[in-house]
Amino acid sequence: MSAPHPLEVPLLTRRLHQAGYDGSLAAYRAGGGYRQFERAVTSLTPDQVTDMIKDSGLRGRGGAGFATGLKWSFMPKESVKPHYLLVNADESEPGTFKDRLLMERDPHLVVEGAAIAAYAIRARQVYVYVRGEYRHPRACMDRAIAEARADGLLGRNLFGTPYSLEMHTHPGAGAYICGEETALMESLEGKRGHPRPKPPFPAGFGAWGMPTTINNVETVATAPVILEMGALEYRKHGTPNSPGTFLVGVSGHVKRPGVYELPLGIPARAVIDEVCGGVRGGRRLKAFYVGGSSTGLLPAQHADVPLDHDSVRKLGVMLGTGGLVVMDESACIVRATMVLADFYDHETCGQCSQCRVGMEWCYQIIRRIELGQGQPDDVATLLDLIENFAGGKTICAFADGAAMPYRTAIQAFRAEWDEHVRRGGCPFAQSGERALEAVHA
Amino acid sequence: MAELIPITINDREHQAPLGARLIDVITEITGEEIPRFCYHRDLPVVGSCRMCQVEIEAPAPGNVLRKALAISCRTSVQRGMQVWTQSPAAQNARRGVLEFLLKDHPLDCPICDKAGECPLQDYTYREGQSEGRSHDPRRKRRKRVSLGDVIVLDQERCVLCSRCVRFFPAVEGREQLQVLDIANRSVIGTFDDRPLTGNYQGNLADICPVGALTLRKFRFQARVWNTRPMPSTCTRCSRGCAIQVDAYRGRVVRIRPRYDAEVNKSWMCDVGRFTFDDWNLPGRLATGIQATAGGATDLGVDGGAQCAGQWLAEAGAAALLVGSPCLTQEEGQALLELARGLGTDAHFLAPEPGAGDGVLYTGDPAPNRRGLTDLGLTPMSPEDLRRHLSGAGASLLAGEKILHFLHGLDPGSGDVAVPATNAGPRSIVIDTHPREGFGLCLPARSAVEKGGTVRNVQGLDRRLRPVLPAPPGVPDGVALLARIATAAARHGALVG
Repeated sequence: MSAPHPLEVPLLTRRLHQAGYDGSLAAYRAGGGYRQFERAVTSLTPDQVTDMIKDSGLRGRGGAGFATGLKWSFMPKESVKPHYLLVNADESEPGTFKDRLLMERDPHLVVEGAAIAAYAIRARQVYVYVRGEYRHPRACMDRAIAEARADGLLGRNLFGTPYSLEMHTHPGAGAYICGEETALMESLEGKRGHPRPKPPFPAGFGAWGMPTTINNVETVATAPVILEMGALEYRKHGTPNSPGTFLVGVSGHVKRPGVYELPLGIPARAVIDEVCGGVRGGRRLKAFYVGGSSTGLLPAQHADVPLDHDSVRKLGVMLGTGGLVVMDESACIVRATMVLADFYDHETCGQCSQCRVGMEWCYQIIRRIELGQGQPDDVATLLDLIENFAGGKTICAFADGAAMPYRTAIQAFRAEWDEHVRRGGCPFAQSGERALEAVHA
Repeated sequence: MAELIPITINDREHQAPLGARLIDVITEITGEEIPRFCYHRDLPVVGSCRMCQVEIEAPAPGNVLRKALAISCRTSVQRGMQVWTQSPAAQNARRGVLEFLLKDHPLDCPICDKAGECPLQDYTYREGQSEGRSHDPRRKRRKRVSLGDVIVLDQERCVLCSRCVRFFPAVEGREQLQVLDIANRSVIGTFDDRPLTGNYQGNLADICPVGALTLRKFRFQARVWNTRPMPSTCTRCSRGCAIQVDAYRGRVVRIRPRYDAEVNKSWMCDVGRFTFDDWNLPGRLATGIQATAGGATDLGVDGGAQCAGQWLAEAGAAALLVGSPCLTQEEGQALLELARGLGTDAHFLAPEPGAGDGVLYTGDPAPNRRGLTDLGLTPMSPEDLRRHLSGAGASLLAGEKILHFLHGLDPGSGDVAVPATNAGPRSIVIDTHPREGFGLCLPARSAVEKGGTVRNVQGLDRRLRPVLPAPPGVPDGVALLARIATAAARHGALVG
């Protein structure tokens, strides 16, 4: 990897910019790797580690942005039951591909981070639940875990202490819903990946009914960084309420798509125009998905929004998983929404009535509008259907996640939707059928 | 007993047990049934259909009151709780769910067996909107899928509540049905279309809240609004499950379980459910018929009772009295009193119990074994009865099915011929149909025509109720036995 962009702050990704870094155990340890895990196990209590993460203000990178240290502190302090750490590597949110980078290029960072998190929550077993399509990332993780075990970094009585830790990967089978933490647990247990109603929450009743914490790959990978530099130093990056850096995976109509480690609070425009070299082909920015499709769509006039949890929230969207999808003026919003609706229709688990039927109904309507059979009442019906499945009416957040891009796309580009219905077709160049073919090819 | 706390439902204060399930509490207190598909009182709660949403306000952490929609099947009664079942938000949420469920529903109520007792239909009338908004075709799914001998599946009518999926593990301890595929491609089915097996398949048609799972035996037999449901107790084994018998044009067309918390909860077995052809058999005996040399004489019921009394009185203590294991406690008592007057014992025919299935079906075909034993009737095996029968001076075999048990025939079979019994010239049988080999045949009511008590295997007394009218002239079993006893007394027997 080349030198980082000047706006980048490579904390997690700093090794990836070193010439010849191969992600092996030797290379990782040469840069101080696993010292933080050793330090935690040998000289810190689990609560001290949790407090350091609390002090850092780290918020989960898996989409919800929940305070990581707080989540860890929900785990029982004393318990006769086994505790589990599940690392959510089911990276499936449309537009998101940052965890893959960590697992492929620096898997030991993920292993060490997971080990630290496991120690903090008093777990002796970690399962890394890897998206089924991520065969190569899983192989990289398996290799790193095997290397760590062979080197005495995993196993029994680590560093001469009573603490023992085992780690395994577990492949998903290609269902998006299994990235939802309770569905992930069901899937790990060998059942259908149906989200569980909450409460009970995983910290009390998680995998196999045991106290469980589920953290995103990037979240745990940040733990060694925070332990190494200290919470105060980490907080110098980012904003007071969203401290630190985050990985932004930029895709779409930019000149230099890719994964960049950036301080939270960086304006979206700086990411698009400076880090990624601007919109391609000299065209103008039209809109962008803030952090994966389920977080919602913002039109170009909001491009100055700082990318931190609070700022995007004020615009009615979420920071999500750092998957910034950029669309220039040649993009059809209806078509983009149709492609997403196809995805959500395919991936709803089908458990809750509204989500199961609603996803298909929305896709049918949006598809018709894009393909020229829109009816005058379609957009109004669509908005009404969204209200009927969104707003906490279902077991998990899937339906709300689908509602975000639909609702924001209609709100910001209502004229474009109406134009499709009025013209009886898509005013943009490429036909909707071809777009669908491309998706299903 | 949980502590009773105040709870406000629709702006009226009530008392409810702390921690109780809201969906049940609302019904118990106000009588209002909150619409539900996936929730069933005797199945694990999944909360997935989202139909039972109500609006609640309850103290959240930090002592703030939070008003929100909640599914009442997964909400427990807590302190300071307010519930609105008909607020605009609650009504909208439920109407929204119904609209989604109806989007692909075939609306084939006119040919659907469930129509008339269909929760989807009822809730739609009650809460739904009458116009559909979809411009898109309904999803095609498989119809008339055979799931074995008992159940037919229509995937298009299914609302995927998963009651049927949860039923088998919860009741039988094994899985049979599954949700296959995901999203709106989800369907109910068995792996590889394997047929369902076991003794509890019929319950699926009861718990299915739509017409997706129907009984092969009841399909297209009757519209449910024309049937007359009557509560009674099942007599096909010694469990005594509470049942509801549906009659149509004087025939039993369906039997369903009735809730009994101590016996069968919401379930019953397929043996009990599907054994009713015998009750619809024609050719009923409605008079007293004496076998005479070269023919038969119609004595009428009274004449028959007189004749029986005389024969038994003349035999006195040598008379053999055996009741059917299907006798009610009241009939058993009457037989006992008759025996006392004659100075002899009353027996009941006690067939060898078969194997139970570990759930409800006990395998014991004698429904009132425990009750008749408790009354003081002596059990007699079919072998012993056959041995004693031909040698007895006079004998009385009383009650429907007794000859089936005597000859080892399936008591529930509707079309089995009962062979002639070699019972001697002064033998009397009280049964539903004329029988050969007896000196005198008297009529009996069947288990769906008589009232009375049976004591089940657990020792619980349960009521039989006359669901169908007995054929004209067929007296109640207790009355008939009493008439025989009176006649016997007239001929010299002691009166009990």
